[in-house]
Amino acid sequence: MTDIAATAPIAPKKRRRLSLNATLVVGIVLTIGFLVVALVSFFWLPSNPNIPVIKNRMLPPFLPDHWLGTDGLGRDIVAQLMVGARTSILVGAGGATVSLILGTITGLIAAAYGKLADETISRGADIMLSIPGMVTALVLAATMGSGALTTIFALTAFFTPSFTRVIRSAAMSVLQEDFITSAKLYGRGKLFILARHVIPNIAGVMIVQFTLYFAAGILTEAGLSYLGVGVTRPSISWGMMLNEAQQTVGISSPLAIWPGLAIVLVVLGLNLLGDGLRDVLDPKLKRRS
Amino acid sequence: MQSKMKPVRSRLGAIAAAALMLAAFGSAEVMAASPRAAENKVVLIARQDPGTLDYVTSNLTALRLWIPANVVEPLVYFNKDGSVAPGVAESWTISDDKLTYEFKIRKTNFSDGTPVTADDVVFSLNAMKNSPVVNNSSAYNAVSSIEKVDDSTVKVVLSRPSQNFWRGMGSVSGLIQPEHAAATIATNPMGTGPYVLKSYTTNSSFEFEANPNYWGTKPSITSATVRIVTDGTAGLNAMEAGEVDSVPVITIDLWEQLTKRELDKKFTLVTYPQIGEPTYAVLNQKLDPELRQTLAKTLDRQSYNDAFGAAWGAENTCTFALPNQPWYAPESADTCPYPFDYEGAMKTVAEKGYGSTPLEYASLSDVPDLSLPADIMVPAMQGAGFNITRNAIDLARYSQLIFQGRPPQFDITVMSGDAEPTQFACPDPSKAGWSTYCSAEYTKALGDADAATSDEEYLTQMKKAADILRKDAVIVPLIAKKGVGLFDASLQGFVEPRVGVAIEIAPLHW
Repeated sequence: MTDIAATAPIAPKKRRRLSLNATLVVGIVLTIGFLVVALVSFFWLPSNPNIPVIKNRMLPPFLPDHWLGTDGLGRDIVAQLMVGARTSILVGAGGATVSLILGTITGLIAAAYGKLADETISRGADIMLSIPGMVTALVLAATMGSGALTTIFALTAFFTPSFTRVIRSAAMSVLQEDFITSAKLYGRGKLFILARHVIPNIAGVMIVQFTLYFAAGILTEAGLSYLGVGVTRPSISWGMMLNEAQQTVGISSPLAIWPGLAIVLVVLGLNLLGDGLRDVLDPKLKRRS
Repeated sequence: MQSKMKPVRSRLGAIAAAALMLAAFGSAEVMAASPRAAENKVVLIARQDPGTLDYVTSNLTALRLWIPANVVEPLVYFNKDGSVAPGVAESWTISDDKLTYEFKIRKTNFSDGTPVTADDVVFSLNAMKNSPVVNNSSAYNAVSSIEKVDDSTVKVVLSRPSQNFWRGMGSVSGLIQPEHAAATIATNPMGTGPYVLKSYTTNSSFEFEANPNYWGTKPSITSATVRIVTDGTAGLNAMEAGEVDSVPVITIDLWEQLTKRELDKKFTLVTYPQIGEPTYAVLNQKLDPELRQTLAKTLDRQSYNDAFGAAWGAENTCTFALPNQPWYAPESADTCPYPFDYEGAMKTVAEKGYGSTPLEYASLSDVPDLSLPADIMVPAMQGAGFNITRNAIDLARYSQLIFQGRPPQFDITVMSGDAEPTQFACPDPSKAGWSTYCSAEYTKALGDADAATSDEEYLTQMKKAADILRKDAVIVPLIAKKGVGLFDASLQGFVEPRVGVAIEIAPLHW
């Protein structure tokens, strides 16, 4: 007896749903793993990641006390990666959250409060987007001093104009719908319409954008810390670890590989999560599938 | 089966033969001389860009490595054996009371063909006398007049004997430039040296060519390019790939890599003290003296040295000097008034309540070998009970905070630089420099050393000054680093720097 169902090709519709789920699942797994590592770091660390133990310097990976070895000052790599995850969340999520809030406010104003507001905000966003983000961050670090807060501030400056554009576009689309006209005829004010009808309808876009900019925030923070203008010790960042590893890259390559791998996995996870969520939350995609 | 194996065997044989040939060619390539040898050219690597070439107003090592001795010469040269050789001055006389120096100027031309005159020498010495760079002008502290005697003689009169003046005439303080080209010194310095600077491109390169008007023996190397490669590892990679012939100055953060990659075996490794630097902590003088002394006791020099994994290149010391300076002393019980004593420091902190004094450690975030001390020292000081926070800032802000801020806004920092002890001379507390250090006693000892009429007296006074500096615990030396360089094995003739830290290209030859 042959099981026909088992050998029959999967219908295109079903295959699509499976691949969508796979993207989302991998994204969720990687992101949750990242969050768990950061959370655990508050309660447990293999050792203090800032205290040098010179006699243990440059130990190779896969030792019982130092799973991924030690750096040039004998500090445990796992402990540093765990604390680095916290910084990535603080800075990446911090920058993305503030930008999301500011971008949502400005985007909604641009979409709903007439041509003057729209033109002012849109051109302002254009100007902001024309300024190279990294240069802005370097100038901010030079004037305000480096650190997590400066980095969040820099990320906010990069991301808010982009959020503004996306939210404006999504909100304008919703504002064209018939139910909005009905609400207006019913006498609802703009604020009510935005809060009750527009925001819930663009929530999917906001969530997806948040995950993508969270990932971008982590990348930018790593870049700034790598250049020495982001987070500095006693805080620890994966970018800073890359910077420190650069001095020993000719001697011990894994020192650069571990933080690099962490960045890749987390950014990949967040991007897959964003893509997966978009596929799930976007009604047009849902209809197509 | 047999027939199938044959081609495989023959293929394996071919591969083995090819591998052997490749290995043979590979090793031949390693042994081959630089492609630049036949043309008598060299390519060197510098790690920093000076920004300006005006050695009168800038004291940057990045500039002093290349312009003095190669392009612009001093009046005289001090050789390693202590002898003095002629430079722009063909001969000289020193009065018995050591108050009058007469320099006979060499009949030669600057690189643009114009003759060197006594007026140029008077102009150059006056420019250095008025230099804002203390290291340049300090040689002239005792100078009362600089005058032209005739077209080829210049007389310098001192108010008191000065060792610094005579030594200065063989260093950057004694460099001679043409007065007519002074306006372009920042981009095109000119002199009588064996090379002409053909071009300088910021953050890119220096191009030198042999000076056709040079008075001395024509250099073997006719053309030299100094590429500015800020990434140290990239510089070593370029050396290994045969793209450059020398990395004459290699900073401590690369030493471990250098030996682990066995570059010291593939190339000629030279070590020399002149381009070495002392690394030292600076504890703001406004802090309580006992607090400073307690901080000094938390400094574990051995840990710091070990952290670089290249103990062969640096020595622990409590003396602000390099091993080539006669008053230098390595770390010992006799020469370290506040040796590493962690438990003692913890006890004092607890007894005196220093934990309630907030302290700020200013550290560089973008200079590897100067951010590393903070990684070691801050946790150690915190562990001893000090209430210390780390202010990690980039070079631009650091310069503002430390060098330009008045008074400088830091409690503790670590520096690496010139081993010139006169930089801490301070006759008046209101004129304390960036280091905050000002000691009348120290300044007097330096003054007495300067006025010494014999080498013995000079050394005695310099040792006394070094001792005062140690005991004051403001400038707290950690290690003395050697100058380290790599040269292609076929590139011979390197001489230890004679004019400050300048790398002389002229003695090199293939």
